Amino acid sequence: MLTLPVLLVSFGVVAAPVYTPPRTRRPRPVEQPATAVTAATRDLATSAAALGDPSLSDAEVQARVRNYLSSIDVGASVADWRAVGVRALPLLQQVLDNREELSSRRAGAIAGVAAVGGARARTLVLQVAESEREPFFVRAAALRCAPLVLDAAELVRELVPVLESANEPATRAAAAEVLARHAPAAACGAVRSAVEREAAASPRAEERDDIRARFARSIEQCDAALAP
Amino acid sequence: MAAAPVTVLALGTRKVGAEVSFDVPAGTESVTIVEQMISAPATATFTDGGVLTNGAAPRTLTTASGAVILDQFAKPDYSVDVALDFSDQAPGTGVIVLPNSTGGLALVSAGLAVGTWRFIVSDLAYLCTLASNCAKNGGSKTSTYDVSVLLKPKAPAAGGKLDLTFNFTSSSSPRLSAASALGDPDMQRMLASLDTMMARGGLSLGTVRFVDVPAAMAARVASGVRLKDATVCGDLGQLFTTAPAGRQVNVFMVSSFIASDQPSGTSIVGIDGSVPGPATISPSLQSGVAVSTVALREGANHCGATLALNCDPSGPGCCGADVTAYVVAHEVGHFLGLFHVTEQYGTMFDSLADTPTCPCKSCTATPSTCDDWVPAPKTSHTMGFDECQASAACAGGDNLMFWIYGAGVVGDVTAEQQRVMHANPAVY
Repeated sequence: MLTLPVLLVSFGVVAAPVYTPPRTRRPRPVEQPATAVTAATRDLATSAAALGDPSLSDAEVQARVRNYLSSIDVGASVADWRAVGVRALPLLQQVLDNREELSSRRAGAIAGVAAVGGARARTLVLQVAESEREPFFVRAAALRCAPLVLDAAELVRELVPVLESANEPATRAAAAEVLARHAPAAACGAVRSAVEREAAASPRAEERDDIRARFARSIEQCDAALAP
Repeated sequence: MAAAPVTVLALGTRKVGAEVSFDVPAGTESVTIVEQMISAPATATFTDGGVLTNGAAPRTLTTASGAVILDQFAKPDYSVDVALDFSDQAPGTGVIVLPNSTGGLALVSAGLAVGTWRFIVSDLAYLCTLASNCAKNGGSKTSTYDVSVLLKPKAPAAGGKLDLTFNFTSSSSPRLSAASALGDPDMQRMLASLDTMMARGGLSLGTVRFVDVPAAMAARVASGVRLKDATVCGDLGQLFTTAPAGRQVNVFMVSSFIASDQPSGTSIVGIDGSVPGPATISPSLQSGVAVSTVALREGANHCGATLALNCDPSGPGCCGADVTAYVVAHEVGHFLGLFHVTEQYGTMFDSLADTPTCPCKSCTATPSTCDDWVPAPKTSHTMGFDECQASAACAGGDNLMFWIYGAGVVGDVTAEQQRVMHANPAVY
């Protein structure tokens, strides 16, 4: 009597192979749902979780901070920053306070501060986000990381003034995108008004097109978030 | 001396699963296969791997002598002996270039088999349909791609030129445009430094062009380029489709990068479309590299007679234009086929024998924090300069393709890295 495997071979039935996708050498930043801020994450730096991974030595924390601030095309995630925890904060504050540092490193520092969280982080992120003295790159980093330390109502209260009055057009656009993504219900009205106000103030059609294109992602986000 | 022409075989629209053949003549230095999506799902879903970006690449590649040098169902573990290292999956456009490994370089040295080569057009969604671990409706057998093969003849072994086109998107600080770049001292410093760094890779800058990205696209990404890998409609891919055609690498100068995991975008200063990029093919979703202009005007007081790349606060200070040049050189290295010599966790390496490596478990003082430690650590150690310049067995921190820059950066390029770049169709 033929056994089942023999039968399968006889009829040319071969099991499909398992496919293993190539290991990703260079993990790309993945689009993820907006991070919701809760009291727990907002106050992270005062909680036990803020200590990060307690098994890491101080030297390991320092090494990781140095590497995260020196990356070229691989970003440090919220989880990466939270693993180094509050022990990273003095190092990050040092980088942030040193205006001789490259803006990319200072931007990474404010992102790390925001990811670790807590009341001090909240203050720092807001200071940078609202400061006209900061270069665009650093200010944009603070704006984009603000949702890690502010809830939706706070975002609207703090970022709508940036949307409406920041000197640099790209900064206003960055604020609009954060508001549209993280507080669409409360902020999309302000975003749409800002776009129309800026466009109306521009005498040339070309400039108006430019303004609408600069805010296009925000408006698309609002349309998607508020679609019935 | 005129550049030896690259032969482009336009093989038309092909469905996944179709076998395509092409002839390789004697004296060929490299073979590039490009699949550009016409119609395909954005993702493929596996029962064990979840939802993955639907990257395109041939299922198999068989030489004229009958050797199968790529089989996606029998992947080697990225050893240096592998004939073709395939490990990057980018949406929309798939590119493989032979040689990109020590094994591939050996094939070229021996002479690529002359005659008819064959490959099966494929993407991840198609492979899924052939696999036992494909989720229900996780794959597709109906995708179509525009398929091209590029054959580059052997050129003189030493040297090589690379044309670059800088595409400006910046309507905000620092202001840069095609019109202003030629007289911009920071941009000129950056180009001079880039020339120095490329020379370490055996390349010299050929023609450098400056163009402005179309206004609507430039305005859309004025505040930053959103990195979104699971779709062909993301900013980065759409930006790259504006790249001018030609035998060159397109470098897009942008303000910043944005990722939804907020901090990760913040710390990125450069990114490539894919490794390698589709050299000479444009437009495509991966036709270039993007680099932030953030550092260009910073640290000007450190821009002296030599390269100033040491950005460590305790160091002598770094010149932002030099740092920008370093990032451009690193990303161009990716575009020409180079991987990081050691990836961030020290568990993956390129497939070149002469590049120094820095394995985490033997190079860090705390091996229990390594990503490949058993039991796995809660969070993984990342490899730094100090530990990767410590000895011959823990090295590579000074290589252009190390994953970070900063104190101690040198930008070395090994002989095999030079050969991989030289074999790329963009180099003449």
